[in-house]
Amino acid sequence: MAVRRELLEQTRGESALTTGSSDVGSGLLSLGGRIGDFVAELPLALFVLLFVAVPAAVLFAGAVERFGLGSGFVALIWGPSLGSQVARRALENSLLQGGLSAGIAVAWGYPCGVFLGRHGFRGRDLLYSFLLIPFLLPPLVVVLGIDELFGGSSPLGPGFGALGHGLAAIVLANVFYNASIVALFTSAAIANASPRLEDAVTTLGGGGWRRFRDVWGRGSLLGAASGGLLTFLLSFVGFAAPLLLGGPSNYTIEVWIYTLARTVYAAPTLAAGLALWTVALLCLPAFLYLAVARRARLIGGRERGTPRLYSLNWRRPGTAALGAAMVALVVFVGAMLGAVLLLSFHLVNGSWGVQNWSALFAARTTGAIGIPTGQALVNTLFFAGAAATVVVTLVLLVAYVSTRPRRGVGILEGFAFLPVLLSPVILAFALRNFWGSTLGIPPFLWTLIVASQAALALPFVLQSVRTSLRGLPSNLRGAAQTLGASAWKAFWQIDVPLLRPAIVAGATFAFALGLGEFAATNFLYIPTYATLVVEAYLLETLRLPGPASALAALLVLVSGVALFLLIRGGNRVRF
Amino acid sequence: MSASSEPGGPVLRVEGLRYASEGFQLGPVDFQLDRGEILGVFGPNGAGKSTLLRLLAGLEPAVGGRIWLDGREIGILPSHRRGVGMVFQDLALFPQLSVWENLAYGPRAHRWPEAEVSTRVEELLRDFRLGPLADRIPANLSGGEQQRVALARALGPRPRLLLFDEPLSSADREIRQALQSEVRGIVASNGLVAVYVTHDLDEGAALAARMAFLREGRWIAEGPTDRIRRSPRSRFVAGFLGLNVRAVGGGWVATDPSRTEVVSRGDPGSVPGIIRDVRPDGELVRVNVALVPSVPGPERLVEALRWGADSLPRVGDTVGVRFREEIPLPEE
Repeated sequence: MAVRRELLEQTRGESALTTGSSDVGSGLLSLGGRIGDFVAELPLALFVLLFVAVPAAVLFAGAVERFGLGSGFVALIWGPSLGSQVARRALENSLLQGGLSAGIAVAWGYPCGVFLGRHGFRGRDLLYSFLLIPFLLPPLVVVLGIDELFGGSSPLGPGFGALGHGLAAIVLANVFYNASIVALFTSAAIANASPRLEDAVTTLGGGGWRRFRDVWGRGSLLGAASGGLLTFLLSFVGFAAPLLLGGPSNYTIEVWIYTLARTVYAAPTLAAGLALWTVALLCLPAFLYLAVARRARLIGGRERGTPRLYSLNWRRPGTAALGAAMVALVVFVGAMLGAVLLLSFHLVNGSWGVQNWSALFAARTTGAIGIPTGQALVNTLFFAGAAATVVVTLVLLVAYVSTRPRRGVGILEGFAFLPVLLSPVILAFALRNFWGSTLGIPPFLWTLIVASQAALALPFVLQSVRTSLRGLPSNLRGAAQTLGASAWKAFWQIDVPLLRPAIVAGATFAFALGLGEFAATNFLYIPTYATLVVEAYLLETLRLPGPASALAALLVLVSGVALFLLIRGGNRVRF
Repeated sequence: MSASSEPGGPVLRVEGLRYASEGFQLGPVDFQLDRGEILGVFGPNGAGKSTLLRLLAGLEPAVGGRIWLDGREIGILPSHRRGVGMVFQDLALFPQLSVWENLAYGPRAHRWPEAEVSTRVEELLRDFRLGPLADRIPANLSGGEQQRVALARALGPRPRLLLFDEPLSSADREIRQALQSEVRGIVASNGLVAVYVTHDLDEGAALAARMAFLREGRWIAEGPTDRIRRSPRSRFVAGFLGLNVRAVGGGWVATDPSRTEVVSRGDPGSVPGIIRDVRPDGELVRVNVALVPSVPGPERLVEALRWGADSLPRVGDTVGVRFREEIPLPEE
């Protein structure tokens, strides 16, 4: 020990002479790394600040200034005025639609998720991809599909008219989108269960019930719960379905905000107050969703391994019941898609033909909506492409710093999830409010449309890439660096090729979301910048259902191509 | 400025190297290695062994200290300019690249002319008997083949310092011995220096001429392997080396199991104990004995030898243990 002490003393003595130099050296090296990280983090931080956080803060600050956070703010919903009554009704509708949709989506999606998550069969991957279709499909398409399928002029109208309008139609649209999400979340959570643990339970004599209780049941329920909470969130701020299928008596708070902010009612301060209410109300379910999803390891986990899958035995009542739920979901989704495609050939006069498609490009249609369909298609592809490019660039930069364990990365990633708290209408409202006098004017307006689409896709793409990133062996980049590659070169040459499937999936996913984004784009557009979904909405409101149905079918086809690109080469969106 | 820059001085010199992160501190670490020397760094899991290697490689930022390699201060350089080669515990082979491309990665990253890259890769393929595997990707190699590729890849850009992060921990005995011999040969014949961390004493001791110990981030002892074995200077090190450590009087002493004998109960100079385990080993018998504590407290287990397997002691027998040599250990 004395020798050790002596050695330490000696070392300290020498170090005292050299400390200045060593600390400067280490400090410079560390500073270099920090500058590199800062440069990589800056674009995302700036993007979220400029296009999400600051505009939202300014919008809400205006509302607080006008109404305060006390009785004036409460009176926005619970006051005696007509406006308050309408807002209260909208809030009640949001809660009712969200709750009903979430309940039905979980009841239907959970057995489907268990079926998918526990069974191996031919075509399982295809089924997985099929269930992604509703998530990638523009919301307006299904709304138009329900209207065409069950509305007054539809062949099914006389028998199922109740499903074509009002609360039932809205919930039907929400369930169409979200039952698949619940199924996919449940299946993904089941895949997190340890196959070895399941083997251990089995060899110790545990049967089906014990395997459910001790191995995969809890995860599956958490997965379904997170799917249900997401359904509630998405349905609560539902826009397209209540706007087109519900009528004023079924307006959600989101639709009412849009109406106050964007239409002839023009009461932007009131809309801002209600937007603040909405965000405040959404905080709890949003954090609950994030917490449950994290516990189900749908967020923040590593890429999953191969789950334990069992072959199908249709004679078992449980399997048959699960299979029946899945078949029903596939038939429901397939029937809706088929109906949209088929009814694009159903003419208003009851006969069948291609006139709806030709009318889509006719001068009368173009004149009515103020822009040729071809131009709307170009706009759609441009906005979606630009948004996907922005998102992928930002996510790549985050990925670069994410694998370097250091303080602040978690904050940055949390920052990127901020758009989840804002609904599309509120985000667009905030953007227009903040940037209205500069970027909101026609030469620059397209940047706001791209920014809103990118902000809404960012959390999903980031999550997808981050899950893959965490699955990479931790030492690969370090190995490349010790072999002589700089940190950025190592990332580019080693990590990026391995992340390619997730990046391609993320880019396609962002592109598909941009293609179908309706609420924010509809809020921000001017005729020159109309997209296909906005055009479809205009055609519907202008009572031109023929071209509208053809346009809905066109959107299904475009989304189908996006999905094909997504699943080609084994790319998958990770939940 | 330092001895490391003088001809014939140490190839690697580390002075006061320190690291700190939330809840963990490492160092100061001081050591130096001459041409052809391998330092084995031992310690339990979580002691900071891998962190030390990552500090040397520049993959973690040090909060203080200096590192010289061949007289050049490399502690201030980013990882890719330090001229070190590292073999990782999980080998970290690039899964999307073939064996050939994995081996070419380092020379290419150093911007060698392509002709030289090819020559170097062919050389490595030949030296490590990897020729037939050149076009395969790592997933299609056996564990031993992957370990050879990782070692060859680390040597690709001709580093002066090699760092090994328990790369052989999962290898079977035959592969481990072959690669250990290969590592020794490479380091000696090329005049390199190497730091080899492991929690397995047998694995590291077979390679290293010098050894050092880490415990909870503290650099416990460092020196030539023979000297450390003769004089461990720490209860932790003595225990790690497999010596019998026990309290005597007010202090602690260590005895090599080969100098510890089982004798009859009550033999003069022996300590009473109860046999817990008996393992015949050729001409001798290895016995684990729980010493009867002189004062109430936890029992201390020692390994002792008994010559002649004719009368095997039995588990539960009370015997005497004689320690033929006692190395005093300093206070900790």
